Amino acid sequence: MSYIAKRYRRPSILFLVLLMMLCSCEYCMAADAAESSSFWSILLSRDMWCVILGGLKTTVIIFFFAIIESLLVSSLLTYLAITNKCQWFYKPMHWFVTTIRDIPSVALMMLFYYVIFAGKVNGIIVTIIAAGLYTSGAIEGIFTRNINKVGKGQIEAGRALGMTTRQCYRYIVLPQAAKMMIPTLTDQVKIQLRITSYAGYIAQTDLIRAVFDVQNIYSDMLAPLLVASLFYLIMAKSIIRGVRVITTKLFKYD
Amino acid sequence: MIELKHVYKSFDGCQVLNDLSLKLVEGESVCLFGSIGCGKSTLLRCLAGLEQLDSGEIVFSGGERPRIGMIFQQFNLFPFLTVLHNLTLAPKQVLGMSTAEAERIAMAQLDSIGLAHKSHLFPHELSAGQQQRVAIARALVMKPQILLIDEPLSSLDPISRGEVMDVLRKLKSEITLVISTHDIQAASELADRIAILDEGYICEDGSVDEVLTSPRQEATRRLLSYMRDLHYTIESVQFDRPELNSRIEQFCSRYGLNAKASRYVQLVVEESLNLVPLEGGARLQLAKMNDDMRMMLDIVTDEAGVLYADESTCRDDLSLSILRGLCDVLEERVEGSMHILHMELSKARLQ
Repeated sequence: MSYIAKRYRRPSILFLVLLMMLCSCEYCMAADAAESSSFWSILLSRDMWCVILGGLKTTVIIFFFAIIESLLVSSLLTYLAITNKCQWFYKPMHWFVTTIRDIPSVALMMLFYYVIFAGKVNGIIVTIIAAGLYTSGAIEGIFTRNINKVGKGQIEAGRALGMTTRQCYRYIVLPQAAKMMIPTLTDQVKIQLRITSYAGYIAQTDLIRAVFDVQNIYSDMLAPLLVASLFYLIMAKSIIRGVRVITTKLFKYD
Repeated sequence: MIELKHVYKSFDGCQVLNDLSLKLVEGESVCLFGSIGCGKSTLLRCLAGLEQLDSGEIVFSGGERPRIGMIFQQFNLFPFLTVLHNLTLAPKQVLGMSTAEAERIAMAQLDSIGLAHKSHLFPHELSAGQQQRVAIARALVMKPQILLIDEPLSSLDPISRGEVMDVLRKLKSEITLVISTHDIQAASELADRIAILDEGYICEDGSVDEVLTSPRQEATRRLLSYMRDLHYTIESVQFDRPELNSRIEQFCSRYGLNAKASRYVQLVVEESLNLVPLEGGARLQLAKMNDDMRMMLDIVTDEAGVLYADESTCRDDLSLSILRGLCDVLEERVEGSMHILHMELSKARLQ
């Protein structure tokens, strides 16, 4: 126990590990001998891990590319909003990414897959596009709001010192905005991770769908569900740390 | 060195600079004087290249733009950087200096303004005067040929003011300065030349003595009177008395009067306001004469009917007799629709 406590210092991961142990004990006590071994036999079975890891791979791919798409789209929109350039493109695009947030993400994903792409495009690509666009509007709002929070006087001070507008943003505005946007940006990235779990609705074997697949094989979903939850938890924690490290290191004063 | 020719600049239809022409000579220190909103800051921002002109031109001698530094009224230090990093950012990014070289120059500059020991602190850990000095040092590390300073003393307490004035006095002999200020005392100390801005153009331009002691233009005289005197408008009976008292205190302190004299002036104002009907509003002007210790107080109302300083018609007998004891002169006159209560404060009590 103390080994586990030392190994898993993060309370949430420790909690999940404890939950797994508790569930396995209850299984042992409540069911007969044959059934009591099912939790551990499922957990240790190669098939379950193949299915779960396959789902994990899909989830990670969707999440990774969706977040890149989301950051690219929101950065472009923020740039256009701040510089007031290409308003013919910015205004409809901004309207689109803010409006689609009012549609439930599952419905949006199905709309993209079955209506817009008519089932002709790979579901993973559709999920990436839909999930990326879904969070773009919110991330653009976070970028714009926090950049505007840094007073115009700061940019003017930079320009008075001979810096270009680009240098002012790079060395003065973005480092300050980055610090302010960490909490809300982290939340949005976590939402992005959550949205990937809807990929199963358009026939993709993501982590959640893999849990159901394992249940179909073994008629039991506790072990795969706990493993999937553990993976989600680890990913969420990594995101929190990752966003913090990237935003602070990227704009650290050298 | 720099010549502004027929410069026009407007914001949202409001003409701020209106056919403004001005010459800046190398090594000279010029003070821009003017009331709030007359375009002083806009003029400095145009010179610094932060605003585009609507029309007119800025001509640089030799055709090449000199290095121009600007110091802002609100300092605009970078709050997330230490004092040292505030000074090294631009030399590294703009001049391409190495970190070591930029830090060496920055530390030398901080040393010259007496803040080398604060180099590791962040701006919010400094007093207003120290922040202003850091802002000056930050501009100076870029080795500007002209330094534009927007209201350098306006947001400073008396101690900070002294600190910044020390630095500006030193700078005066080293660099071309263009300073916008309301402070006559600071202007007379720092400027070689004073340019008066009124309604977006330079209405008077000359040496400090010429402009301050014998102004040629009516606008200049009005402005100087406004800057030297205390003007306060009372809208109704429920006006802000603490604010008026605070402004009287500031006014007295500007002319070096002690706390006792300041309280005396406040008492005269308070008693005199008891005589005047404030329902329709009133205007108060407190003026200090240049030549001696004389101080005048005028309270102007638009009610020409009843006499305020007459025993038979006055609103408060006690206040009237107190005022007669406190002032050397107490008289009233009616000019058109204006009713003026004029007092000359006791010289003996002001000393």
